[in-house]
Amino acid sequence: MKTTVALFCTILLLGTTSLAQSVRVELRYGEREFSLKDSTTKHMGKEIQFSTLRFYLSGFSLFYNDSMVWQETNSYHLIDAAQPESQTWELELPKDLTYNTMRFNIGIDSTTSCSGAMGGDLDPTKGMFWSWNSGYINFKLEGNYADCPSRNHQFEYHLGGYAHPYATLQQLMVAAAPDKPIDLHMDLARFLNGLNLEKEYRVMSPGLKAFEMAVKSREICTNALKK
Amino acid sequence: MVAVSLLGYSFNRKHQPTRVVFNTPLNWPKPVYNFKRNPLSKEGIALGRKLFYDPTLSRNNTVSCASCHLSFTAFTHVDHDLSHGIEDRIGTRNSLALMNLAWSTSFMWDGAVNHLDVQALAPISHPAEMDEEIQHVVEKLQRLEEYHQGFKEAYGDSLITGERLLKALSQFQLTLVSSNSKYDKVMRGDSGAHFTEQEENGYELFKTNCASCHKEPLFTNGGFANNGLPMDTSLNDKGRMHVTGKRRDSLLFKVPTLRNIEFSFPYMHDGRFKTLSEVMKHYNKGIVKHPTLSAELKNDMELSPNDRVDIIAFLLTLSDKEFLFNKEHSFPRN
Repeated sequence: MKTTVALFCTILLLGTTSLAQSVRVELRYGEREFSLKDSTTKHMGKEIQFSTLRFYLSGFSLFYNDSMVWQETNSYHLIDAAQPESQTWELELPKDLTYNTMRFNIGIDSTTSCSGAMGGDLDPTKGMFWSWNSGYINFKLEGNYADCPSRNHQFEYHLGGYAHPYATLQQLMVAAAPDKPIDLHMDLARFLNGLNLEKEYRVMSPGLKAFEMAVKSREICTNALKK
Repeated sequence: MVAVSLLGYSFNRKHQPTRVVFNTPLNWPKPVYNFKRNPLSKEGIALGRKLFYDPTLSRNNTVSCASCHLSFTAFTHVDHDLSHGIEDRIGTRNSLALMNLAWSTSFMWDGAVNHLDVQALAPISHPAEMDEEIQHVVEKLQRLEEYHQGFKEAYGDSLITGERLLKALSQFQLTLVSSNSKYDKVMRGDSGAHFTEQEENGYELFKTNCASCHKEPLFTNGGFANNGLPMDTSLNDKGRMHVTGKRRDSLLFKVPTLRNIEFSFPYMHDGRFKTLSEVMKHYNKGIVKHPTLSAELKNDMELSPNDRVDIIAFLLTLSDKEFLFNKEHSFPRN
């Protein structure tokens, strides 16, 4: 009886001291919703079809001006265009927390990349860990476009690498306010904008190319705050 | 009343894996492996050992880790300069001897792998080795009752994930510690353990000519070096440069351990030397002065034939029969 009362009180107490706030990742392609295997999508007037879009978002923390006020634990999320459930999750925040910005990474930090086998969204079975040059693939975009001279006109961008000077992790900030979901608007057209797919259709290893493309990938977050 | 409480007891009692303590040999440096993320248990090691010897990890269920890493021959593949994997496909490198992995900071001849836990992903996915995908391995294991039991005993429930499978493999491999060779017994001052005059002379020569890279007690400094081998133009293997992209890493390869070297022929990253004599001849007069040649090897060693034989005699004292024939390391029979 005593245990039951204590348990009930704890639940009540928890209920009043924490708050769940959603993070929502919205995947777009220009004006439209981003979709896989959609033949009506266009790049430079020609048909482009995406077969895979997966990327990691990690290291979520909340700031009030320049002070960090909260950090997410086990902050690793694999966003998969094929899995809508992966595009939203809840942050367990203390009630009455004041914040105005959220900071996060596109990719996985170097320490985690050197820590061996991890689970959940970081499990190597997710196909986002390189076997032959240890480290996470931070961002993976694949599909077909007629101008690509590759087999099946495939383009494959596997952006990763954590070693200096080609570390590909990208840190961004967005505005955030209590009592509202935190939205991340990701527009993949911004990544392809300006890319000549006839020449640049494959990046599968760490290095300068991956580094340059990773910097470009920052642009997909249209509501990111400028530095 | 008794029956109900007994039932309650069995529901509440969670099987705990049996913890195993990792023993660092006397005077050895601390291991670099982070055991906190993967504490050793009897059940974890047993599971890892089962996986190590299981060809299910390969696409057509014919190649296991042990196919290229045999316990009796220092966990490497003797008599093969380049190992053959699935369907007799040939790779580009010689199989490395597995031992003392808790002290390794990098893995593979070019250091492409940065942590023991993720090393297995490389041979599992290589088209000339096991040609499989880790996702498929997990699916295959999920269909085998023996693994439901093994994972339950090691992890508390029978969920099979990439992380759990890899960590179990690590646990088994971490137990492959070789520290009881004649050399070790002499160093510890074990009663009755003495070098012969030849071995003693060889040890002194070793310390002068070899130990800067093949540092005691692991007999490797854990780094990479260009030891002056002429490049094999049929392979064009630039070693570490393939991983870092840096010109200064061209033709650099991992400094392997010399422990159990008697049993891990043929030698070098492409198995080009069948005998230790050939190795000594290379260092003696065969060093090619590549731009990235290790500073330590600027000059040929130019040792007399007797000295070379003495060094080899010393190297034979690094053989650890207890390690090689340890039943706990070999194929699990139950």
